[in-house]
Amino acid sequence: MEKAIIALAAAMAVSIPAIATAYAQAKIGSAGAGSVAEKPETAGTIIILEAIPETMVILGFVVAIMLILQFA
Amino acid sequence: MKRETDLPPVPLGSEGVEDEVRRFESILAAEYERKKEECRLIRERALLHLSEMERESLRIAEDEWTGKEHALESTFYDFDTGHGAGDEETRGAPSRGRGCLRGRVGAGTSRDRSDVASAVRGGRIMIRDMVRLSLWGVQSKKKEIVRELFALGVLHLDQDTPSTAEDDGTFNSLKLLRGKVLGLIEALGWDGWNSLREEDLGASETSLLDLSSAETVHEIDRSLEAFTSRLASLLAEAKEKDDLLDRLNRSEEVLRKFTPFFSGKAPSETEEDSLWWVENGDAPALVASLAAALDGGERHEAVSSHFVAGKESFGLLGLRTSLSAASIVRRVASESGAMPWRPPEYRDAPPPFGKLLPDVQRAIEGLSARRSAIEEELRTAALQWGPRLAALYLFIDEKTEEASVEAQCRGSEESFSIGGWVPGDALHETARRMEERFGTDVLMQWRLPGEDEWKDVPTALKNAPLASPFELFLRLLRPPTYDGVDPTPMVALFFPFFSGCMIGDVGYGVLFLLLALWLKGRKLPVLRDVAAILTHVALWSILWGLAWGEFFGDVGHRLFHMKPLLVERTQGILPVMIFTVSLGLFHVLLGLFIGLCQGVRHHHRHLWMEKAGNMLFLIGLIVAILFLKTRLPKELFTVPVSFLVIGIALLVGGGGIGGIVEAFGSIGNVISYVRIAAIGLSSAILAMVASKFTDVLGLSVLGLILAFIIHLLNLVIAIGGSSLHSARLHYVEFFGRFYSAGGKNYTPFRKRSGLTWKKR
Repeated sequence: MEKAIIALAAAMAVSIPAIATAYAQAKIGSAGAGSVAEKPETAGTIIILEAIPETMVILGFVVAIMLILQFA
Repeated sequence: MKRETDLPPVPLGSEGVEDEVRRFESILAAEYERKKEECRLIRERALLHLSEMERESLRIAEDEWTGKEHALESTFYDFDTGHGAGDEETRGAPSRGRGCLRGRVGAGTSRDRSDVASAVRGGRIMIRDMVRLSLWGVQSKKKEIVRELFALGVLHLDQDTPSTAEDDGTFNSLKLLRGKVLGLIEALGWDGWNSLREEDLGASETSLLDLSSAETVHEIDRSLEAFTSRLASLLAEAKEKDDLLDRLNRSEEVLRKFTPFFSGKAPSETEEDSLWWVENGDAPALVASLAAALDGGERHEAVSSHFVAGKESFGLLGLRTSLSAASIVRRVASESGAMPWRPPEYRDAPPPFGKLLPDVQRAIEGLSARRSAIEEELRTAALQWGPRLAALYLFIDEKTEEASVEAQCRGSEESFSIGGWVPGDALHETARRMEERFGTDVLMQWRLPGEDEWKDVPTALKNAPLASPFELFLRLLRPPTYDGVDPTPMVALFFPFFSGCMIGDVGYGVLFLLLALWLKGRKLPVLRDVAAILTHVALWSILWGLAWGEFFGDVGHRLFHMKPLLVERTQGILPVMIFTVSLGLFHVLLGLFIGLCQGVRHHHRHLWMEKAGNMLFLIGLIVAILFLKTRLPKELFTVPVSFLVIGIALLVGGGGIGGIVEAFGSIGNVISYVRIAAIGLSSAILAMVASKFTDVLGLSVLGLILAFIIHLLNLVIAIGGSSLHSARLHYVEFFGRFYSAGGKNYTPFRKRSGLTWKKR
């Protein structure tokens, strides 16, 4: 039972930031596509902006790994 | 640190240089004398007649001369200084003392220019040193001089120089002609720009090079006249045939649908067939009305009808009635809102519809044959004329650019001047070529940019062949400022290292290497750059694959008992994560160190304080964690605490509260490098999943196919994900510490060659 709760906590630690990241990237992506169509030279900036929210899920991954290694 | 403006002036010792300057001064002096004499004559005449009109002429001529005198002065002096007319430092003949002038060559002199390269070496990091070049020439040679500069292809013109090209008739004619030729190329449907050869371009140049711009326009226009009219008539005919073919095809479709009805019983000479457009629901009512109308006239005739519903709300109604009832049919149909249908070729008197189908089919065949012949003729014309027209287009495009540059030149009736930026390493060759070609007809001066001009100097990157393909990453951003740092060598080192660490598979690395070798043979320069980058990534992937012990996941272990040199990623998650964070710490600290050096170099106190504070903060924090987690002597704990305190003090001094926020951002940046471990782990697990299929399904065809598909998917994810994340680590975490993207691209005025020619 305890292991199941730890696994659930680890899964939530990754999945919730993943949903948030996906939402943010969808918003940035649609705006970015419009921007690149108008001004192709903004492609670099858009890639950077698109990649920024991924930090959330990376941090979630770190937390999940710590949970598993610490308690499982 | 030595600044650009502190460099010793280039010695100007040659007598030839002074001769050249004296020659230009004598031209100005002669102009002055001529205008003075003109004024004197007008004045004398005015004084003789003393009429009001001539007094007025005298006043206008004197005003005009005063204006010209100022213009001539400023043409000669103002151009070189870049600091406005009347700059005392540079006024006068060759400067030997202090001031902006650093070098001067009157072409045709024997000045030794070997010191040029050493004089312009400014110690920039991976960015070419630029010099400000000013050139004067005699007006009669303006065209040739501009053309030579164009062929040299090193001069980056001032973007802010106003151009009068739009007011120039020849320039506008060239633009118009360029558009016309491009229109012809597009009408021909030719798009072989990548297959265009230098010889194609050479042919156009050889035949037209000696003509003036106006003559060129006339000559090209004349030679294209016959071709244009032939092409226009072919295209018009093709369009006409297409329209007719379309209509006939639709007629054929209709006739096919009514053939059973009309051919079932051949019409007698007293019967007539007709087809009507009617609304889908109206057909039965129309047939009933018609029958009633015929009965009412006591004709007792039967009405044969057949209705085919259309895709939309209209359908076609076929009628067969007696010839004598034709007028009644037309009246009733018209009253019901029906419209007659006729095949396009037989609008006036169609033969009986039952016999029409073969005629329409024959017409379609004839038209299709003619359409194919036109298509073939156009294809032949495209093959024959496409490359020629493309070469002509490029030639006119270059001529247009030359005309635009000529219009940007400033000057008087006798001389003109032009200026811009030239890489220091190209200056010697430029001066030599101009000297050989134009002798005493040009005068060139150059100087190093002043510190206040650095924002206007274009940035040209200078990297070793091994690193230059990685300049591709900087093309997505604005180039670094002239006084900034080009991070390309560091990208060349870290990008493939990070990507390889994420992929970390010998098998995948070998496949990427093969892909890179294939791409290397491609014509497009960007693909060759990608191939070079991929080669680096592939080699690092193989090395990391050996370190992690992976060959297509665990296939290496299963088949060859392959062992990891360092650690197996799927087993040692924590060590890999710690390693990647350490890598991130080093990378971020490197970025901060470059930022610190930039701050010190440019005497930006806030910048270097913030970067130094950030570095000390990060180092202090990591060392403090090490003290807490390991058995390091606790007495030395004051060292990391001191680092932290000094770091925070510097951060506050350099950037205030923002500096503290920046420091916490740096911690996030360092942790962000965990993605290298995370993506690598997912790639390794996916590769293992692929192998599991063969465990579950055995060495069956299905098992192998599924394993192959999963590996293929993993391969795509590996190269896409690793490249994107590695690029992101550079753009956000690394460049954010020091990169100042405010530069201007170095875009010299030059010929397009190789594969760089494209429609604009």
